[in-house]
Amino acid sequence: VFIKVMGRRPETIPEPQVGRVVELYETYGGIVYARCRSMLGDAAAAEDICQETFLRVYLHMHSIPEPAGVLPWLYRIATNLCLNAIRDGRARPLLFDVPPEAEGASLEDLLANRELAGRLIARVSPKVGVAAWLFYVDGMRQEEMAALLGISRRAVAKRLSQFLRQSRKCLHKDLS
Amino acid sequence: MNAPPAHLAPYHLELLRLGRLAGEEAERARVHLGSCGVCRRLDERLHSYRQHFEVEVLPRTRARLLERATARERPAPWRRRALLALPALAAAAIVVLVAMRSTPAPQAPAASVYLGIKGGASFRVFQETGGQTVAVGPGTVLHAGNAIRFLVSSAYPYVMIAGVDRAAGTQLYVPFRGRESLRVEPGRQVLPPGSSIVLDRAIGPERIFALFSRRPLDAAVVTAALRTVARQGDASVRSTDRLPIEVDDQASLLLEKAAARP
Repeated sequence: VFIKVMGRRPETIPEPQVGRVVELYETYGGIVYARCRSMLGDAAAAEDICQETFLRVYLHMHSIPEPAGVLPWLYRIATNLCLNAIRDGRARPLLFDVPPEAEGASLEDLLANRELAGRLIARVSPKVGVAAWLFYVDGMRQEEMAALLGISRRAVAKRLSQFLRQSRKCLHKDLS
Repeated sequence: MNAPPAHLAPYHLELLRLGRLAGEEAERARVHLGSCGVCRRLDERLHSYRQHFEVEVLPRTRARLLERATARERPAPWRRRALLALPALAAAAIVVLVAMRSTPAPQAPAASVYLGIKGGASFRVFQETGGQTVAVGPGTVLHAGNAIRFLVSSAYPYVMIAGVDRAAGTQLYVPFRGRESLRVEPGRQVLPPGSSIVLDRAIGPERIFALFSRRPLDAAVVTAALRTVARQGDASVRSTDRLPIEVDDQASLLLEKAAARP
């Protein structure tokens, strides 16, 4: 029945896109939702951003990666959208299992406290924020981040350095 | 740069579950997961969120996603007329994607809780607890007051879900206290629609049957078959996994009901 219906459609309808986005939603929606829920905590906000992720997918179907790249692609979009929501004040970060605050003088040591990291991440630029969340909150290694973000390890290190610089500025601003 | 905490990242827990981590890395991750409470809790939480999505969110939002997607698109005038047909196409696509997908979705629960039936139908039971949705496997112990829902998928247009236990006898869950099978759309359905089944105080085994058919089943026929099972006691409830009635497909799941938690 489906094939017959499809066969009758005018060529101008973006039928593969519609089918593909539903397929992706059914296949990866659970992972994307879990990502959003674990970043935000709030079920409604997670649901909304999960949908937003697949809306982005729908609007950028022309740039959908090869099958192996679909999950990291979705994960990046979802992480980015969650951080946008936190930055805009539409949602609050949910930080589980916060380790005890590190005893050290440097900012890097302080960032071992995921709560502090989460608060600072919401104040830095989006690309830098995603990298910082993956490193300080999710606990990923730089080479793993490079694979997920589709960039070089050097670029990852650069973004993390930018995060430290931007965080210092935020902290100095707060202190002054 | 500081080394990050020595735990598995959520993304790697997902890759591990999907079997996408390379051999040695996967083994290291499995060993760590087996010994780290923090990572196990995170893994369980992710699992619960995925199940909540499948049971609660996906059925409710699939159509909405398509509506929002098509509403957002601002096609050129030559495309607008063609897009008027999108809702029908979307509906057709949903049906086909559910029916034709050849590989299971990666978020599908473990095989032990996924009751496949010939013809591609399936029947799953979920418990809703503390805002989380957890798959219920065969022999799972549930308590009085626990809320459960069902996820069915079938090409047949009628479904009936009923339970039997020795103490309370028979219960028709879907349609709740109805007279004949519920008509459902093809594809995945969460049942009962918009509500849950709250387990009563009867303790002991309860077997829940999902009956799929081309024509509506008479509830009286099903109830009579269930009573026969109930009369023969707990052993019969535990061992009878199919009802001797004419249906096109059927599956069942055994639960063990315990007294309510204090």
